Amino acid sequence: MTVVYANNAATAWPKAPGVDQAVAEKIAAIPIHPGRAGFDAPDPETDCRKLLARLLRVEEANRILLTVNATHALNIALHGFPWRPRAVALTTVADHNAVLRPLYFLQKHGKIRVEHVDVDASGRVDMEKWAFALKKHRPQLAVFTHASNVTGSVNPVEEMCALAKSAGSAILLDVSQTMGIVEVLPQQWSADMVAFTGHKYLLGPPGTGGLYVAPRIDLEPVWVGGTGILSALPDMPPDLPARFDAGTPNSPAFAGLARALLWQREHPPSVSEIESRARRLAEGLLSLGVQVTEWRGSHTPVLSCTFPGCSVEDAGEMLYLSFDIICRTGLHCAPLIHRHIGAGSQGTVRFSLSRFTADEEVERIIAAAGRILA
Amino acid sequence: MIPIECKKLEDCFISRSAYHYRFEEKLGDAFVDWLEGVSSACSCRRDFPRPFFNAALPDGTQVKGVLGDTVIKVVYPDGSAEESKTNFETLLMPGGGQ
Repeated sequence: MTVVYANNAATAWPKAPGVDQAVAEKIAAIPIHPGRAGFDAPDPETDCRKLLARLLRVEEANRILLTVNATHALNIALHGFPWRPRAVALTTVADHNAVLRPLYFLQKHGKIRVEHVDVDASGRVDMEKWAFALKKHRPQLAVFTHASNVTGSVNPVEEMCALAKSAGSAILLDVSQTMGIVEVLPQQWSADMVAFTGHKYLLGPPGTGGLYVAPRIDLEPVWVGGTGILSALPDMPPDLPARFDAGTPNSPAFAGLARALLWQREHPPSVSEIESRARRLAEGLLSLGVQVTEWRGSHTPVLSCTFPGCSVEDAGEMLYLSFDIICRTGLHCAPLIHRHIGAGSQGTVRFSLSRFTADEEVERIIAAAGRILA
Repeated sequence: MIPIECKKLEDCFISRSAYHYRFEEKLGDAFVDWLEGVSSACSCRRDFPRPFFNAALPDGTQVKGVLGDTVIKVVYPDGSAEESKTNFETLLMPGGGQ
């Protein structure tokens, strides 16, 4: 039996064609002296920034900071943000620990107060509650996920940003679950900062991510050190991205990400096809009696479910050990969402597809679920 | 059956005590028969491409795996994990389940 990989919301597999080769070539190549590379030297970081700026439709590629992952990007944003005394950060119960834990850390150290907004049964932010919380708390920063990593529901981000802006909040958007498969438009949405990862729907290697910072936001670097430029200065260089580029970059990984971005640009995913496969999976599971989290509106190819009469953990283990189907079980690092979507304390079984998931793989998941419930 | 390796597993949940035990030989019907003898409930899904067994011991310890593999997963109950681990490992010793 070949393995069915349905854990793309954790990390995508396979990666874009050529990513492995690009990483290997960069590792094998003679390193060029940082900062003295000249016109002809390969510069995967600059390539990535240009490709990412084009994807995000932002003008200044230099305002894209490259990081090791989205968590790193979110920490740069949240720890470097110019918090006022007694500031409030507003987030949602759908958010991932990559957002929640840095916020709790800041709260624990007396820097901010954290408030959460509930979601509906599909895992989508309740807009009435969002508007109410913005008016009530007047947060200095609204930080939220573009789509739930548990249910796949895409939030009405444009509306959320507009409401946050009218309440005077800055915005930090986590697009880890959407970038590469759902349009992300920071300038159009007036999002001040956008954190992303390279290894999910961008189809790049792990160890890549980034943060777009709009020109109106002035972050303080929290990670300082050598940059290879302006080395006589005691402080970090003033301009972006060097201000945040302390230490040797993971150039092989960014060479891989650049290759993935280029490939995706030349071969844009058919979102309707991917969504239709995910919907077929949801419908197939529902027809068997699997309890699938409410599915409506805009969606990533992610769904959560529970199997009646079978623990979440057992279902996941049976799928993997007996049927060669890799999914993910548990809380998915988003511990607050589960009681809102009707899941128990053990979380959910999550299937997450990609542009490479085939129809027959979807049918194999449904057939295996049927055998488990038989 | 004496395990050759024991590894603690980490997952989402606080205070869960779960381990993988690896054996030298592949697990077969004899292991499931043994599990049936020491557990209060044991099932084996032989209709699966790789039959999946799952047993609950009287103290709440859960043992699961698939036939033909060399690894089992054991989850010890919260509150008495250390004692249950010692008891289960004793059961695995030759003559332990007799």
